[in-house]
Amino acid sequence: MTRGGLWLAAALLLVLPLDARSDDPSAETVVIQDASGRIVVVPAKSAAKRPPPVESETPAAREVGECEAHEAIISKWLKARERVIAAQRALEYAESIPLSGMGRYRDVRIRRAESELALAEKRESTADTTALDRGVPQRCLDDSHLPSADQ
Amino acid sequence: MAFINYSAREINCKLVYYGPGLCGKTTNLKYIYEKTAADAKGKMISLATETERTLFFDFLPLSLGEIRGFKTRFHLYTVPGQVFYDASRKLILKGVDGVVFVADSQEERFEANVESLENLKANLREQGYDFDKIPVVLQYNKRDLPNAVALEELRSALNPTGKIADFEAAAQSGKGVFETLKALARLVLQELKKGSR
Repeated sequence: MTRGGLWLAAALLLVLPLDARSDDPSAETVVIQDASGRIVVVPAKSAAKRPPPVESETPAAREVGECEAHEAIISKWLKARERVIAAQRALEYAESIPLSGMGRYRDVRIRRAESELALAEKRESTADTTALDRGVPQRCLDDSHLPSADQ
Repeated sequence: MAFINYSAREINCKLVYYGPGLCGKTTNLKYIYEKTAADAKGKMISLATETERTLFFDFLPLSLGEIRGFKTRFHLYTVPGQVFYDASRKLILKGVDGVVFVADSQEERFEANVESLENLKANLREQGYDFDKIPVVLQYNKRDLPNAVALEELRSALNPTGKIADFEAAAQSGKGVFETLKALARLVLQELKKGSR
């Protein structure tokens, strides 16, 4: 069964009570998937109170999501760093433009590069990198978190 | 290459901590980060695994006072020491102004030190730098461990001519950490002055 098929089956199990013929609604039980991803049988009443698990909340999907989120944070910060370096180079270039005959053009380029650099530095310093403090989870470093070819 | 921002009157330099895996590069940076006043340091970024192995690099911006009216900002980087990450090391060496080579004094890491130093020389050459001309400082780390090799033995393998400034250290406790950094900063600034003449 494909991963999509599995989720469909799990979703169907969620809405189908095990004992639909019972007259006493409190006696009804349903099969649900709990927060840790286990399939459990619980009274329909308590199941109704729980929000249905969505794919991204299950452990496997959560792992993929975590790895992707980590990757996104790293690449966002790296981009911010690259932008600072690029702005520094742009400013260096602007300052190398000869004053004679190109003074006005030089001034414009310098001003533009300076504001770009200030913005890039601000972006870099305000980037939320707290998730990096915990380090990249080991499972994100190999392919084990990726769905296999048959899924 | 150092970046000088004339309007902001700032000099930005890039220093890289290089060395074999688990020699203590990140420990050096962490110690510097802990002991530096809040207004002189930026955010320390570690692109590491959850087991604290450096995955890409650590990054620490530091302000080290003023020189002739210019604020000096040093950007400290470490490289991942594991042999596998050579491409990352090459990338991080781009635009470097000075290198701290951190050697692991433990007997069983002797070969790893030699290999890593050779790798540094090769990677610098690839980037167009000459190891003998770029500011480099050597740090013999983990001197406090019982299995540390005699200093002379390390020197003869890593600094045979004795031309490179070298320091004994125990980065965990902070011994030698700032001495190493100061020595490299001084060399880099000397190099900058030469260039501005």
